[in-house]
This record gives sequence, structure tokens and C-alpha cells, in this order.
Amino acid sequence: MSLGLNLQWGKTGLFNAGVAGFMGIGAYTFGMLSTGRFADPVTNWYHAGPPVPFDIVSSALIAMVIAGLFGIAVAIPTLRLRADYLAIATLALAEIVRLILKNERRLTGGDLGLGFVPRPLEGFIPRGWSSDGAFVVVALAATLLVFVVLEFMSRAPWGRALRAVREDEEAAEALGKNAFRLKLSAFGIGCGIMGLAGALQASFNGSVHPDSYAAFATFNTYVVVILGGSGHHRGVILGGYLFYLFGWTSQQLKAYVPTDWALRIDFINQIVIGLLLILFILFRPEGILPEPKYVPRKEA
Amino acid sequence: MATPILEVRDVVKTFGGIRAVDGCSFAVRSGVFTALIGPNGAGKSTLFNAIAGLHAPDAGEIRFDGKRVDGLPPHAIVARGLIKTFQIPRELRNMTVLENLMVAAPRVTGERLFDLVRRPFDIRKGEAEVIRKAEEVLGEIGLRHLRDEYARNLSGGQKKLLELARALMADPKLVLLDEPVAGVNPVLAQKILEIIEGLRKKGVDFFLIEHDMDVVMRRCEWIIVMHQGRRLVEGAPEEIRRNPAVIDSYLGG
Repeated sequence: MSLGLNLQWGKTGLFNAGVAGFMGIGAYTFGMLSTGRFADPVTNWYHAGPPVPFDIVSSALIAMVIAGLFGIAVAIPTLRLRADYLAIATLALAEIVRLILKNERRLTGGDLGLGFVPRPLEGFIPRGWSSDGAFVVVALAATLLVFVVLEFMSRAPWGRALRAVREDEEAAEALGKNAFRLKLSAFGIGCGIMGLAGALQASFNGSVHPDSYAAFATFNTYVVVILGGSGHHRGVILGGYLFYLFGWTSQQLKAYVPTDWALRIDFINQIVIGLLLILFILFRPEGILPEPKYVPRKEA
Repeated sequence: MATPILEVRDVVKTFGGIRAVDGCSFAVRSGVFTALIGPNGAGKSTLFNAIAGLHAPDAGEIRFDGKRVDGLPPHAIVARGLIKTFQIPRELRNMTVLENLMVAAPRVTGERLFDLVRRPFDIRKGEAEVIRKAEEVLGEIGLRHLRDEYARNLSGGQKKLLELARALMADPKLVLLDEPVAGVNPVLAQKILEIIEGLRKKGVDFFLIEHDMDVVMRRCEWIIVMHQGRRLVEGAPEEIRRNPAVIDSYLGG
């Protein structure tokens, strides 16, 4: 799900510090649309939503579009400035989003979040499969679809022009590329994918909570991109799975070590990730899989 | 009298309190190999950047091919056939030599997102055409053996060639060269000049900034001298060489 960020950071060199915010937007859009109006049983708060729930696929697509539009709205004023400003603006947006999600109870259910967010294909789960198992298939399919589309886009001249902007924006401009438009479209698409990721996550968890979209979620996404390989979609997917495998393994380990160590595992986990990140930046900045070289067949 | 391909009229560009270009006017005629010379800080590179749209001028008019281009974004100016190379090569480091050239190709199918949706199958065809053209340019310029090398691995002189090759990919009518042979060994400088000469025969115009007076005096047909942000004088090489004001401010005794 870091693929969206890879498009922005790996291919275009845009520093988006608000990944979590865009995921949050996607997750909540999806949650609201797919559950419909919903009263929390405890507090009787309503969150907003259509009277009749949307189906899951169109909710996810709308979540994607809305996150993308938010991305474009932030990007239009800030992309013209230096890279740092984009980072600050997106970081701020992510915080604003999180606080709105937390406090606008009537809209979002506040601290309690949304519940009963549906999963796709619940009616069609083959006998003997768990709901989680079926969801894995859906998530894999979504990842694969996004991967194929992105791979096509970045191999196309559009992707080449993007990389030119990443390498040297002024030179790309002098060669006749509209750097602003390229950056804007890459940013919008990247944010849209983050929104889709948010929707998938919401659907998997069955609920949405504002604090899932704090800054560390952004940080984790960068870890995945840097470890996996900036500018390399397959690398980033690999990075994503390794990252979560690592997290999962450390949780499993808890059962096998003494209690006082089990309590520390979560923290050790973060230390190890941090160390890995530093080691990678120092010794293998291109990540596990570096950006592939483009070598077309010789014509002559 | 050949028609002017580029006209600069009363152009001003200030940076803070410094008037880098201070009301400069001249014309570059089509078919006449023209040089812009002058001491460091005279405003030559700034003026080039203004013409190419990288820094919009604060005042004045720039006409290319009879139409105003001042204030247009660089990509719109390139699309009209005016392209500039950088004094210090700005190669796209992590892309191959071939890709560096391909990026510069104009009107490529699939560079706008809309194309990717509307006609995804034309892209491959367009790409083959771009590759063919890029290889042709590489052949002309003598970088074919480095086709798939990362641009960051090229030598300084090869980067200069790459800079020129990229400009040629854009099908320009006029190329602004900012010191094309500065810091280049004599053999390579000779080669660059020959390439330029060959292209001039095909109808491409060149306008260059250069400090190598040997090159300027022998190769160029018209010289414009800038001093303190303005045009000092212009004329044929022999006149410039003898002009006392130029000798004073630039050439030396």
C-alpha cells in the first residue's frame, strides 16, 4: 500500500509527510459511504452518511477519488514552492484530518470511530475459508491491479517525464516538460492510492479509528518504501510484506519468551526498524530492489 | 538582411537590488551564427534564462519567430522551437543516456495521462519512433556506445555532448548555447563546433555565449557585446576586435 508513496517519492521526488492523513480520508470516506447513517449504540451519536449505504466497490472508488482530490487541493498552492513546504503542508493536513476525525462526532463518530464497516464478497466466501482468508485474496487482487496500472504508467513516457522532474526539475522544464502538471498528477494519483489503501484497511478491520492515522503511520510507509527500494514498485511491495512479516513475527515471539521480555518486544521492534533504516540509508540507499534500468532493444 | 528569429527589446531582470539585465535590446537574425560576449556578471546567462522562460523578465519584450514569448513558461517556449542548454551540464543523473534524450523528444504520445487512457496502444509505436530518433542523434554526436550508461557516469566532455544532443531531440529552430566549449579539451571542442556547423547547414539557428575568443572570432558571423546588463555594441568579428570600448571592458589591450 506504499505504492502511492512510491509514485510521489520514488519516481517524482515529492516529499509527502501526510500519508496518514490521506489514508484517513480514504478510510473514513469508505466507512461512511459503505455503512450509511449509523447511530452508535452506546452514545447514540450519529455519523454522517447516505441514507442507503453505497456498495463496497463504489465506496472504495469514491474514497480513492476524494483522497486524490484532497491531495490535489493541497498540492496546487504548495507544489510551486520548494519541496520542504509540501512536506510541512501535508504534515499539517494529516494532523488536521486526524483532529477533525476525532472531534467532529456528528460527522465521524469522534474517538469511537466507525464500526460495522463491511468487507467485500462476504456472501461469496467459499466453504471452509475464513473471512480473513477471503479478504487476503481481495487485498492481493487490489494490490496487483494497482501495481499493474502503476507499472504501465511509469514505463510510459509519462513516467519517464516524471523521473526527469525528480532528477532535475529546472532541466526538465528547459527540455519542455510541464513540471508542475506532472507533479500535480503524480501527487493526486499517489494520494488516491493512499485513499484506496485506507479504504481497504477500514474494510479489513471492520472499523475506523482516528488515531490509526497519526504521524507514525506515515513514518512506517516511508520505512517500507526505503527498505523495499525507492522507485521500484515490486521492491516496495516486497518491503511492505517484509515489514508486516517482521511485525507479525515479533508478536508471535511474545509467546515464547519470558513475560518481561515479551513486554519489551514492541519497543525492541521499533529500535530494530530504526536501526535497519539507518543501515539501509548508509549502505544501500537504493533499497532491496533498486530502480530497474531502462534498456530497450537496440534498433540498429 | 535576414529576418530576426529572436528579438530582445528593453529587457530588465533584477534580483533584489541588482539589475542583472538592465534594458537590453538586440536582434538575432536567422541564418547568422551569433555570439553573445561580455565580462562575467554582464548579465548574459541571466538574459538567456529570461529568453528560455526559466526566469521571466521584469520588463521588456522578447519575440521569437515574430511572436512574444516573454512570460511564457519554459515548456511553452520549447514547444515553439526555442531551447537552451546549460552552462554546467544538467544531466538527469539516474537515467540512461538514451532516456536523457528520450525525455527531450517533443509531443510524445503517452506523456499526458489522458493519452494513457485514450490510446494506450499507440504508445509503443510512438516510443519506437522516439528511440529510433534518439539513436540517430546519438550516432551523429558520437555517444552511441554509451547508450545504456547512466548519465552520471559520463565524463565532463561527454556530458557537454549529451546536453547538446538533448537540445537537438526537441527539433529546435533556435538553440541557445551557454558556453558550449567551456572546460572542454580542444579536440572535443572542435567536434562540438563541427556538429553545430553541420546543423546550421540543416537550417537550425544557434546563438551562443562563449568566452573562448578564438572560437567566437573565427566561427561566429555576428557578435553582440553585453556590459553591465546592456548591449554595448554589436557587429562583425573584425569590427568588434578593433572596437576600443570592447577592448576596454572585455578583450583587454
